[in-house]
Amino acid sequence: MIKAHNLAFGLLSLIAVSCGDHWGKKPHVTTPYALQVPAGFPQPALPEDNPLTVEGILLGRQLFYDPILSLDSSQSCGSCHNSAFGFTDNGLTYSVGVDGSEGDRNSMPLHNLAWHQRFFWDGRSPSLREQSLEPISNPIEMKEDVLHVVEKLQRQPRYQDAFTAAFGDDEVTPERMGLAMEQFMLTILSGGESKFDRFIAGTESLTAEESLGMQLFNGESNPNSPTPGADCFHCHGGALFTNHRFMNNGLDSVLTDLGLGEVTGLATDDGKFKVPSLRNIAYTAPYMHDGRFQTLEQVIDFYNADVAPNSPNLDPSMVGFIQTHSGGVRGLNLTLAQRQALVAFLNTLTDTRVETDTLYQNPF
Amino acid sequence: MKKFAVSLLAVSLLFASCDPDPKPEIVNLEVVIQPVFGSANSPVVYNSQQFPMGIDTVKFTRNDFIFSDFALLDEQGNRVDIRNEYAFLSLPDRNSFTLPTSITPGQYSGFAFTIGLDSTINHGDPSLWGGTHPLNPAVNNLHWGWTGGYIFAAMEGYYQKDGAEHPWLYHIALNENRMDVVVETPLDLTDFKTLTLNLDLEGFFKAVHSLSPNEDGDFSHSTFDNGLAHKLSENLSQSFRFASLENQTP
Repeated sequence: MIKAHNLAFGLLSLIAVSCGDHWGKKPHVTTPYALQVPAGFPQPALPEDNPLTVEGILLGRQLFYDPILSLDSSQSCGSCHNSAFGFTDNGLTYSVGVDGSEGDRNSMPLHNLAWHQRFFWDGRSPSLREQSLEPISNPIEMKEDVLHVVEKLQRQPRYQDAFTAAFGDDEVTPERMGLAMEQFMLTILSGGESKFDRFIAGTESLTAEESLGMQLFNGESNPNSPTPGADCFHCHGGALFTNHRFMNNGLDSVLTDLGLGEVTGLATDDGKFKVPSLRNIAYTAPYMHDGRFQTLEQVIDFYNADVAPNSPNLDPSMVGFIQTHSGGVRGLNLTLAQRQALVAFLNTLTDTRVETDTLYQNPF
Repeated sequence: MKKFAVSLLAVSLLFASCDPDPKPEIVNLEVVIQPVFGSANSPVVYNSQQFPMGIDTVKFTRNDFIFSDFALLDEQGNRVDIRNEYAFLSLPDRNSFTLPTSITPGQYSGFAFTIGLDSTINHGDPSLWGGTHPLNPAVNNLHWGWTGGYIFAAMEGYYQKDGAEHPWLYHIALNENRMDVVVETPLDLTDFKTLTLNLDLEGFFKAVHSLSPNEDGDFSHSTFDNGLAHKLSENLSQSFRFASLENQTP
């Protein structure tokens, strides 16, 4: 009898010891979030070590819109990535930091980042979680110490709750901040609801001008071809309207910003910048990495006749833009009506969801 | 006596279980594509090294491919198909792929594949492929979107023109330009092996047709090019050759 009692006691003790870490503690449960991939989009390779959860996304959104991330609590990520401007900086050529410093590159739109592998115009960040922390400490942006931000967040009860909901406890770390902001930004989509998407779905028609623009966009610029083309699709083709590569599109004969070359140290990368998506392009003026063009008309005019043939590392895909046509005309040789048609088509890529989806908006 | 028999059995069992070279019942095959230039197999340094090519001097910057329709040739030369496998290569960095562990070990007489896709896959819905699949357009950047289909081979670089560097670009696509490649060579695939094939980039310009960016045109997107893309596809299909077959390193 005593032997049986001892055995039972021993077993209970073992169970108690093995469960000691979790005794009386609720398991951490999060709510999985399924990214609604727009029709026709390729499947994204989402980070396996940072699964999307409602709690993580909401924390990320709070951080994204909270000016507490900056030195003087005057700027948030959303200050320079305004959803009303396709998550760019309010039409500005360059963003202005907390101390009035002006940047040297145009604010990039933040939609469809789930399909990107490298971030910033020069690709210096290999992940969205790293990218999201960089502007905090950047001296011409938020100019704040990330560890100081951690201290500030730890003092806020709402962040203690939000970090607990997302990660199981209220510990604030730069890594967790990055993971949460990565989750939020991965959910920002542009696609499926633009006029172009409705046309592809067969629920809306394009005007004659927009149709001509689409034909030109997807057409090859080739003197042997019976139809004109603008060669846009080589770099901006597919459902995402970007090839995600880094290329020199021939803006300058003499490079003043090395772009990717500054990151890799390779002269063969000088002048290369990330090819941006053209979705929501109507929202995101001005254009190019340095915001040199204020309008889409100026962009088209540049591609039509002004690509610099001797620009170092001019991408081979630009060969059609520097060809000489019969009569000695160099470039795409598009008429004014054709250039206007291209702009009309580009305007069909506008998806107002970035402005209206409550998930993307400032929670404060 | 009984003791001796037991000992003998134990020793026999020990030997049987410790076969130093057990043969696998099924193997995979890693394939490496190594860019070279010319019959001397000169190594290629992308975006830097210039090669003489007839009247031109050329430099290579991009060699991206989609491979499909893999097969081994048995000893009689018949195809043993390895179905539903695809590979995306972007030389020089992404230069290898592994065919699945479904190959019956044995002696083969060659390796075959196609650069490009059959019409059904080529014009199918590209959004169905998984996030890391070689045919996912976000992985390979070789899909032409609404104009339909994939680029099978994207070959790009620069050449000297009028004393200056000028781009050349050949994007080979469309069903009629699919490239069947056959490399005939004895292949001992009784174990897990790595097959290295040399891709002779000189052959791309002259294996069948002698072509020059200066004389034959410095770009093609496979249409309205006076047959240039087709000639280049014929060149490319003849530009692969056996380099080595080695045991895979664990």
